[in-house]
Amino acid sequence: MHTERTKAAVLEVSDLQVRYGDFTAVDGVSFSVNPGEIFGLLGPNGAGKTSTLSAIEGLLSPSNGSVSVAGFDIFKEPLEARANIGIQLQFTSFQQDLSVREIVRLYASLYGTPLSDKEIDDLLQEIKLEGQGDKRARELSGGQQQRLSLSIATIHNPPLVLLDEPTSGLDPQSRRQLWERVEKMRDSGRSVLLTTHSMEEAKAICERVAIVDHGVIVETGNPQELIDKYRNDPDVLAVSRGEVTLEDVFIGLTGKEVRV
Amino acid sequence: METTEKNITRPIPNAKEALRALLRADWSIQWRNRRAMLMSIFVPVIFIISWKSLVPVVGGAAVLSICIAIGLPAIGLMGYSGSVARDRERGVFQRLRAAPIPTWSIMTSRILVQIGVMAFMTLCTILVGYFNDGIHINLPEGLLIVIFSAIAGLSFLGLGQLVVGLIRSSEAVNAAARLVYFPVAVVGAIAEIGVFGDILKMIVDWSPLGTTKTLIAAAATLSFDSSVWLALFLTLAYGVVFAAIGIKKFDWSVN
Repeated sequence: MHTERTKAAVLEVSDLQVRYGDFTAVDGVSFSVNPGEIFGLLGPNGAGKTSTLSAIEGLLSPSNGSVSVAGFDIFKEPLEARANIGIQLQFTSFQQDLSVREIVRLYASLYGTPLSDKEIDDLLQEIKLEGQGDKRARELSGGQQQRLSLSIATIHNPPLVLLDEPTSGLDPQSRRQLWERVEKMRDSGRSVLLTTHSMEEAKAICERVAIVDHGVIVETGNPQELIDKYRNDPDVLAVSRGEVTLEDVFIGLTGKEVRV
Repeated sequence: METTEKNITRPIPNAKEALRALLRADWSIQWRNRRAMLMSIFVPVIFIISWKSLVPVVGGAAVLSICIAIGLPAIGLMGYSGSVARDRERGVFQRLRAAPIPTWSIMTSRILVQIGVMAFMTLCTILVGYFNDGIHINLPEGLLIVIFSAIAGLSFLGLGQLVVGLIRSSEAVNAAARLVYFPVAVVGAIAEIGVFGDILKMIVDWSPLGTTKTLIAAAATLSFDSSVWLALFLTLAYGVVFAAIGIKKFDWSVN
């Protein structure tokens, strides 16, 4: 028996299936995310990205499949698995009537890493929210809320961070700043799984991407390798407007029709 | 062969620590929304002031019990269900559920805060009744009234949970809570004097509002007969049934 222990994937998703009544949102998705890797899930609206992320977080029960985070089964050991995940989900928010300081204090406690006032001040300074601690969450701008949310996602130093369309609605400056933060996470050894509509973002920061459509993964690989692989594909060339880009590959693989 | 190592461990807060953190946050939010809280406290206080003339006719315990019984569903039905529906829609629950804490601690914190508000409302009503209407309540009776209010409050919180479990949209939850509040509290209060006939009066007597009135009146006079124990049993049963259905049907997700 081969007994050598290798460095395991931080996240392993196997044959995941999510159904809402008769509708299958995720249909047999499998992939893994390695330590220190930024992995992107790309797909049109309704492709099943957010459902996949929610199932990984254990927020919904899949019809089939397994999800392992840092070796913990999210459905059998949910608390242990969640303790190893930092999260920034779309369509979630903090309590709008709490102050920034109270939100940080609350979530630090909920993740088992209570912070002193000084530590909270340092954290706020780090995300350029110094002097904003007494502001209510609802008074923050979109960019400030994203920075706070990202900071809380990593407050317990998790090995895996899940980001659901993190740059959606941000201006170019805030988006670049967020990319830098995500790359810093990667550089510090964390793994990041993010969903995005932005092919520019995927190409800029993801080591690997999976293109998801109709609940299945249609292609996986390094963004540049995917461009090279499909450079001469007729479907990709048909939608290309010059130099073949990741967006051309994406549209070539998922079709031109607009999803709602 | 690649093996999965559980070598990356992170702290998990124990349930007590999580509940304490949630309670601190929920109390802060309740305090910041104190205007809405005061409105629900005003309802029984206004009733007890305006029904002062009824005290010599029906007795202080009867007036006090109906006023508190009207106030409890205002908090349990409208306050609780409204805030839960709104936070669900904003995704606050989804964010909290993503933390490594037991799910029950999220709702327990909410319920404890509402029970605290109900106890405060009950105390305010007792004090106004004492000073304005001359309804004399001693400390043991007062304490028992607060305890019974909390028990009855659970049944109305269960009703609020039922509403928010069956209805998704926060606007529809608000409308439904008001629609349910009207027959539960207002019709119940008026039916007490028999204007709708004996059958409706009997139905109201054994409704959540009626059993609450029976419990509060019994606590105010420290007189317990079999109907009080039956009222206590029914109050607990209402709470368990409403909450069980409401929790089973409750969808935490935003969409």
